[in-house]
Amino acid sequence: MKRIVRDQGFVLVAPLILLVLLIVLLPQLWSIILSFTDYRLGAPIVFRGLNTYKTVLKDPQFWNAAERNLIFVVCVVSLEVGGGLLISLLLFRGFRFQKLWVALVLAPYAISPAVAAAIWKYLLDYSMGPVNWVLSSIGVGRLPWLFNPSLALVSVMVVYVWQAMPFSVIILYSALIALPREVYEAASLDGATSFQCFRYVTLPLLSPVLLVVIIFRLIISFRAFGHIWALTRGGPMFKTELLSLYLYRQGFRYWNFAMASAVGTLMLILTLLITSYFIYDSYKRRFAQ
Amino acid sequence: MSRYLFAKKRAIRVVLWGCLIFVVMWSFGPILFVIVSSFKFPRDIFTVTPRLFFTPTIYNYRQLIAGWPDFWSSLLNSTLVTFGTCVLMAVLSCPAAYALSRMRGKAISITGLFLIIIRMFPPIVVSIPLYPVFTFIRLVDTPWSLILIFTAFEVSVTVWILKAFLDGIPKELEEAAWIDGCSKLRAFLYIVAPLLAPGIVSAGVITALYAWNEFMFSLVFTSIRAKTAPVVISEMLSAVTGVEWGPVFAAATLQLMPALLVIWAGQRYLVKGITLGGVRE
Repeated sequence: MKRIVRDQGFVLVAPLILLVLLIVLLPQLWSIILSFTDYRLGAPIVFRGLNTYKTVLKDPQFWNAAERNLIFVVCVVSLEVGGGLLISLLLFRGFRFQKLWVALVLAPYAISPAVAAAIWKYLLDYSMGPVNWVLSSIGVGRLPWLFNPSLALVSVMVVYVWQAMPFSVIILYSALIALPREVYEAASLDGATSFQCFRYVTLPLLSPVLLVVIIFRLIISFRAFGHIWALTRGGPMFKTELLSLYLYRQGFRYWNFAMASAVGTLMLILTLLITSYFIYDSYKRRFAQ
Repeated sequence: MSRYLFAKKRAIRVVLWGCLIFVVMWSFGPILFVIVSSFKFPRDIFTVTPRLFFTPTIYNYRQLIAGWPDFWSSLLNSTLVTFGTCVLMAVLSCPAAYALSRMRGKAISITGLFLIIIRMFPPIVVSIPLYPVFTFIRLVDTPWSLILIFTAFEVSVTVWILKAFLDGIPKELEEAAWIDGCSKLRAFLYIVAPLLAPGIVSAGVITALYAWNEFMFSLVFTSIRAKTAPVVISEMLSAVTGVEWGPVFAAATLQLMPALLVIWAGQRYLVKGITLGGVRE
């Protein structure tokens, strides 16, 4: 410890470490401890061993939320990254007024989850929403986007993907720009078609970045909260309640902080399982000396 | 043959433009729709067929002032929180990024690991134990709670951005200044900082957008006085008497305009920042 304190640069990182310790790390550890108690806000803390976990794991609503969360993450990440790849390939072709198009494609990135929910709640409105207007004028008919239990999850995913896609676009687009030109020249000299170029040149060169984007988006979408809460609050009939909303309900509706902490700990364990290799790898690459 | 090729090229071009217009409609259409609708009279909003032509009005903005005084104070709160977060962020992350870029040692590598690991913690989990603590020290429902939380959660991104920019500034410049008798702080302020300016703008744009738009922590940690604009907008959406869309559109437009301007003006910095800070070496 003493050696670390005397280390060069300790003073420079200390304030930041202190803040992160106090606001993120210690609360996270405390939450893990709380998950072994039966703490409710305002009540004394009594240790109960694994009791809270048993309650959580016996709650069918938890399992429903977990299942929906899985469906949500898989659909959302594949749409975001797949769509993001297509859009970035399109933008990479280059257009007149390129800067304008890029800015307009990135625009959802600048929108708050609450505002995104407001916009789409209107667009998907049953009686006056433009989406239903289009659907009914092409003969599909009006759909109860936000009221139908099975459609609601789809709606929530649409909104989430709309908001999150620019992130993948930005990263993949700048990765494409950074690819070496010579490889393409060589490929086209050898008579490769543009699809072959994509399949055998672009995709392999892009795959490390793609992998990182996928992992990153897995972590982030796994904890999706704001969009869904502002749009449906987990309804109708809890059909859009993901794990984070379940946690919020336990914690800030029933003030059952032990339950909420147990769910949170399970979420953390899942996140770490998905990403442990990625953390190890990026740490190694950045600090291998 | 060449004529055929020319025609084919043209066709491809047309298809590409078609795709581009579709993509832009998908991403920007909804935003444009809300901005335009905020200038419509309610009779033009609530139509079965959307109306393209209408007389613009600021009626909805008047309604917003009259019906939702909360919203105006929340815009002020959001501004305060955004500025506060940017300032605290700059103070904390510039020195740390400098250390990470220029120095080696245990403290540095632990910081690096730390900054990667904290990204794994789901924010909502942390809000559970923080809530009683912040209530106890009377931070709940103050802008300070949000400034501290936003900085702590976004610091990992900004430090990586700044570090990446610093890595691109040759060390020799500072060393020359040191040899000439310049102190380390002066060398940083007068030689490194001007070269780092684009990096600071990148990190600033990303931090400001995050703090301006954040919803989850604001929902948990502010309830009456310190509510931010996104929280008030979400309240407007859940009005029991049915949503008043006119004021909602007006509020949404006012909230998203500054962010859109930032995206437009700072596009280059934003792209660079996300690429460096998010995910890539």
